[in-house]
Amino acid sequence: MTKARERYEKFFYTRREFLKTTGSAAVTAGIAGTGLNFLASPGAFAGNNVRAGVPPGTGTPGGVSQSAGRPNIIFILTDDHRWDHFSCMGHPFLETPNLDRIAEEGVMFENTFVTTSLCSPSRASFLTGQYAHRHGVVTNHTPWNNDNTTFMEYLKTVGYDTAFIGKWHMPGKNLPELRGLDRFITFTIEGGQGVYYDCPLIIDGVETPRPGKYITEDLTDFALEFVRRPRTNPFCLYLSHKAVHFGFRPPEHLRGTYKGIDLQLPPESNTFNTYTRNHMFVGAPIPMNALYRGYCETVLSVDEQTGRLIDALEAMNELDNTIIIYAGDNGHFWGERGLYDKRLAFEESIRIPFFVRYPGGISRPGRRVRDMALNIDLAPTLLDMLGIPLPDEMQGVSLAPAFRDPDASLRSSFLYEHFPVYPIPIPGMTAVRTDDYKYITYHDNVRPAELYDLRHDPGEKHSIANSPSAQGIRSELEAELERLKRETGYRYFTRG
Amino acid sequence: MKKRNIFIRMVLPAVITLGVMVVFSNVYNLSGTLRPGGLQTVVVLVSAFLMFASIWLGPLFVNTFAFFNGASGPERLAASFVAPAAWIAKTYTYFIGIYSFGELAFLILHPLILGNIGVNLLCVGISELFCRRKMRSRGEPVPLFAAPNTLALVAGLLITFAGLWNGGHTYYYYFMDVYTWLFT
Repeated sequence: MTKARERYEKFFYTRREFLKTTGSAAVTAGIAGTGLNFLASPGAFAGNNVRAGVPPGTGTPGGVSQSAGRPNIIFILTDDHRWDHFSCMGHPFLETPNLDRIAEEGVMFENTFVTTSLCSPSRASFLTGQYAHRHGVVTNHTPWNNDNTTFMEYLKTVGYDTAFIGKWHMPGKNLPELRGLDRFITFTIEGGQGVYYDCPLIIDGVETPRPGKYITEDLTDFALEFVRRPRTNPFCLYLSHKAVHFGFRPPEHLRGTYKGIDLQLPPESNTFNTYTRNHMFVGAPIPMNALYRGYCETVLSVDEQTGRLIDALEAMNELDNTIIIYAGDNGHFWGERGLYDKRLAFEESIRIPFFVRYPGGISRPGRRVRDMALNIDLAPTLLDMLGIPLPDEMQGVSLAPAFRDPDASLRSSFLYEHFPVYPIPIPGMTAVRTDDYKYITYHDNVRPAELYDLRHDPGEKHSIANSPSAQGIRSELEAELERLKRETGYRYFTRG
Repeated sequence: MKKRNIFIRMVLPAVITLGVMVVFSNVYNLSGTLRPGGLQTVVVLVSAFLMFASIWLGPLFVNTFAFFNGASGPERLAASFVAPAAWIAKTYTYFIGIYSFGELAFLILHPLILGNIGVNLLCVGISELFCRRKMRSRGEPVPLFAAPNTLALVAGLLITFAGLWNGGHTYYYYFMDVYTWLFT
């Protein structure tokens, strides 16, 4: 039995023993629905969608050693890193061995999507497990509500050492009051976007210049310092990079790596895409080719720094006792249909990487899960893995069943939402995506609805919304969209 | 200098620039339907160059043409801004229905919109300098720096400089800060 397996067994043995000894008492006490009902679920990771409605600090498996045997957690979030820009996803020239390693030694959710393809809403969704219309950060201009509860707050209640390092990027006059954090290192410059070089950091509330530092490396240095601290508790590190957001500036030693290479952009893409069709409004008055080259070189830096983190864990003999999750906050268009940036409901915009490495808890490492996962699933997944009851307000589902069971079913459809972000000329929209179709509607019908058959038109180039033969499926999808809106409590925000 | 009729001195240069903008915007947009390769690249390059030139640099032609055909200062300015105004109006159509009237009004200060006005003003100023020097070399008593053309030159320079300073980031974030203060 490997050391990781031993730890895994110890962790879930503890939990099973706890269930065994408390289950009957819980039933007797009639406390199902108060938080302990989750714990009555049989088997590890099996109670994924049972909601408890328990505030942090009261719903933990009371009586057990809060942190004993629990794995460490590292969540790495990058910006605009779309799902197919990895060598393991078949990219024609990118080489990302360290990021690939997470997927190849773990599980890749190859159909993972964001519920809103925009930085701030998506980040808040990762943290809270909620849709934007519920957590309230509907655009990059709507402030974070300090009443929101992050998954890190729940983790703190079960004894985790916690650190948020990197891009926060949610508006508000001050930084948020994030409860349950031991370290909070972030930046507010340029509307919270940060800059690649010399980015001043706010280190536990103290603004600190960082001359001569490259942001991805600097944040990783802080992450390593946190990870290496002597401790008795497990840790949870939320490492949120500025990369690979616009600016697309690689570190000096990687600059020019792809100079002269055939970028293999889509045929409908051209150098001027970033200047036309109002794409200059998203702040990109630089030729497409130059931007894309910088983007790819910046991805290399993320890979390199992730490698440092993995190496450090390996050296500490903690690698296999650490759940490593890698995700992007949204995708990015690189000339497909002449588009640039994100926000729209097309695949390039909404589809993200989501890799989980945890040898002790994942069967058949290297597996790919085809079922649809969402950014709002991160928080419930982590809570489920740690045996923490899922709060009512979380709207995602736990992906943990798919770690163990290749046939686990996650969802058959989901709601996508986008709200207008001044000054970008993209209307509010909602969409429903199923395994086979995507139906997009725009607020106030400022644009006609679109319907794509993803099986026969994966590039979403030909809307069949008005095709007579598609009216049946269109009606079904309209009904499904309305159902999802009702179920999630959707409401429209006119601006953010 | 002979004052030509209003069609020649004012309408013609404005319509030529507007026509270049309309034709080559459409050629550019349709270039995506061509098979990728040499022809498509040439079509994209030529159409994009002429499209951008008509939107951003039009007064270099319009103002100069109007000047030497006897157009007055206000006529030259009006003719110079036909193509930019059309482009701004077209751009606004993408925002209508999404944002409130107040937000649409504030959009005039967006670096791209204001920048377009600024760069075109700068082009008017540059064209005026060129034309006035030419007139002076012919012995005509034209001041090189009269108040209106100097104002256009200075305003154009200031707006362009502010918009481009720090790669455009500084002005953009000021713009967004004011937006947030006003509307959220």
